[in-house]
Amino acid sequence: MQVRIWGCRGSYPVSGADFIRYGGNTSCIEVWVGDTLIIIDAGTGMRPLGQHLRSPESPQTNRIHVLITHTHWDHIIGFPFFQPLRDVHTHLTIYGLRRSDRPLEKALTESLSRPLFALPLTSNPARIDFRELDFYTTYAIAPDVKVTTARLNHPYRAVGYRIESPSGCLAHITDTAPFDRILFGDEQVSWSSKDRTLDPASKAILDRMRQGVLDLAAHADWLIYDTQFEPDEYARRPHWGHSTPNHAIGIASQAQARHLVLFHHDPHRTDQQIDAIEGVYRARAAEYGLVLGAAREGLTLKREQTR
Amino acid sequence: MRLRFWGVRGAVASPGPATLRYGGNTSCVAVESASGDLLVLDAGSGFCPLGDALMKGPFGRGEGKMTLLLSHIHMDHLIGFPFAVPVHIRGNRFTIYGPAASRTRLEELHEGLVAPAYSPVYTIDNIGSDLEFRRISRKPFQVGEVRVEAQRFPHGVGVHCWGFKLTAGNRTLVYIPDVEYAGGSLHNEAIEFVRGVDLLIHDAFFTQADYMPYWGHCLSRHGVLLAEAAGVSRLILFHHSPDRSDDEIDALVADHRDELYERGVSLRVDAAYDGMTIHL
Repeated sequence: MQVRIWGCRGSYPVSGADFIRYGGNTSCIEVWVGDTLIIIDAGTGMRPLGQHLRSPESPQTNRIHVLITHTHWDHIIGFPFFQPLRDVHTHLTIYGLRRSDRPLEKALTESLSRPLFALPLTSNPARIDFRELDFYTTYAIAPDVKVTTARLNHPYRAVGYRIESPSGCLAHITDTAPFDRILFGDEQVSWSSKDRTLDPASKAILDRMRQGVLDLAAHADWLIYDTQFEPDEYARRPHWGHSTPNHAIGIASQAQARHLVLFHHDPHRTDQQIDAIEGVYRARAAEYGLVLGAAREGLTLKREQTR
Repeated sequence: MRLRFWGVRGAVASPGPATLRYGGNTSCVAVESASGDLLVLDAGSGFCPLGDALMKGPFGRGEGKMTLLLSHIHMDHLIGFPFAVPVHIRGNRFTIYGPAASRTRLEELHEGLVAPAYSPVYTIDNIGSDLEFRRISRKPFQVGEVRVEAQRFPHGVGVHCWGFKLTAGNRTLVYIPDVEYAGGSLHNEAIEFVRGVDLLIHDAFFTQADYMPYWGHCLSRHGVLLAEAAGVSRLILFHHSPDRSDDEIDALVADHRDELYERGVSLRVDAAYDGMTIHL
């Protein structure tokens, strides 16, 4: 298994001298398991990934699996600019949450279409299939590649993924709030909500969610986790649906993941600030025997030997 | 008028080392008149850093006032709006002129942009500031001391992009961010619209080498030809392809300057970059 980050910014893309080393593109991750290519999310990082896939430096395949965590703009806006869409030989399967209110295909094709984009997504030459997933289920998407899902605590809900193969295991947990104060669902959580007492039913759902995330992360080689906020920011915006590095370390250490990757950086976070965050939390993670690093564009994670 | 470019890309944001000097944000230009009227041309991803900068002034106190002119409703001209901080501050006022069959339709479009599937905002009713939507027409209107005229330009199959002409005192600029002239030739209408203006900001998405017909964009050369034909004094190449690197933009500008010099044409050509400021 080989993992490469093409976009690790949250909310919206940023550009400029403050964002050169970690990068300004929004969520997109390339995962190779042998000959199988899996892409997680379709943020602006998907455009450079598409160019790379068509270059001689990249392994070649026409079969591409795309796991969508949720359809907020920063996770889908790069899709129309993914070069392999223009190739009639490309066969994409797009995976995302099964929802009763709106099919996945509709959520993606209606937004990535006119009037907001010049061309409808499905008018591209590539073949596109949609496959809807349920929470807490394992799917064999290719030989030796299993994908397991879990519910994340984010407005309108999001999917956490575990990609498992004999050559490695990646857990991808974004976007999510922690599992203690606010329960996010399809309905909007009131913007004025601060410290509220949770009813037992909500508490039970959050406990189930947290266990699901622990299961995804259990003994993972790499745990990529939403750490958009610093603690003071989380205190002001608990209703935004994002976590801090402390929350991530809590999950990673309990799940005995090996390597925690801080992901979904706030758009205002400069390279220097991410350096500082990485330094502080790396030391804290080391107390749990956990390797920690901040995601940056171009970061490649690889485990050669099989277990 | 004082202009500042906050986003100069087309299609999709393209941050990174190869685009550091010209910038990777999508379309957004702020124009301020001498008496402080604020007009913003498009709300691509550059609208977010503009919003951050505005927070240091009246917008940070909920006393800001902006007129936003949307040339058309492609995402590279809209995506910054729901994320910009001043938009969520109570008391700030945004008058949004956009292309739509009706004012209601423009409001619906913004509602769709922040719908729960796509944004944690859920509905524009959650946006704290005052939003007033207005439909663009050819009828000129006044924003403080700035006179605004609009004209429709072809932008791919069945799509139009509004170009804007802003006049304050004896200074005039024209903004045409996305245009593909039918048949590859300039319209007399376009020449008339920009005739004699001090500054033309023009689509430069394609070059001869990478031109894709019917994609809604012209060649950078078309902006040069238009500026020359209309007697414009200064041309700013805008809406760069996300694939165009800094070095490639440098070379493009140098080629145009060389060619104009050889022909003895006195037209100043520059390429827009994030942070570029012009006093007009």
